[in-house]
Amino acid sequence: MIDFHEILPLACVRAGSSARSMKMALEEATECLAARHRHIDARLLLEGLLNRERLGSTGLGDGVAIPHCRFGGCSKPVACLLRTRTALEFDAPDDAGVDVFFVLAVPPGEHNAHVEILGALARVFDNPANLVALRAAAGDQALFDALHRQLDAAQQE
Amino acid sequence: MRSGEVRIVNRLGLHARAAAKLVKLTKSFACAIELCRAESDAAPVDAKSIMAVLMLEGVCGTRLTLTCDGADEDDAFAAVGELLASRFGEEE
Repeated sequence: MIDFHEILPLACVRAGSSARSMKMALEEATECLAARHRHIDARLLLEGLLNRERLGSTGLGDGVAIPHCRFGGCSKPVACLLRTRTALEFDAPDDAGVDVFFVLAVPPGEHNAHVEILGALARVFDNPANLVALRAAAGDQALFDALHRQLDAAQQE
Repeated sequence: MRSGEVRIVNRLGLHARAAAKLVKLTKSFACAIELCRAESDAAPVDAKSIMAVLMLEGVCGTRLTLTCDGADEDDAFAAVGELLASRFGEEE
């Protein structure tokens, strides 16, 4: 079972991002991750995430995206959850704008953890009630609590 | 209906880009296509949904039951099997 509390601390949850573009959202997320994890270089991580998006959008539909990449600059998986005030253009499969971003960096060798993390996220984001709760959460702490509750439930299924 | 076992053999497993490739392929067929983890009680999932495919958590070595049902089921079964066996075009 994946320990999401280890991957996504409260300090890396932003419920009121004012990013106006995909690039701004990823910049905010990588700066947040670099501030929390000293070994992470924000610029390199941003480059990795943007390169990954060029291979195909990580938008899942329903306003959710999981920008991610394999990143040599981290020794364990790390994530940042960003909820933007307005939905942003993200080339999602349903063409809908995205306002919930789970930004993830995984060490290059951790293939199985990578797939397991994506699986748990898909189970959470596939449930419309979860998305309603994530969008209704008032503030960082409430958003943090809501997502972790959902991730715990998804992993117990 | 065609049904049989397939296996994830690329080292990275069924990650997001591989899942997207799989969904792009399955959507090109008219027949219903489902996947489920072999020897599992879990309900089969729609292989044309990226979320559903990610939920399989198909790490390298995972065995899946592939079921295709419809007019082009034979072509779909062969094509999906080929994509997995070709490691989604990845080197290892």
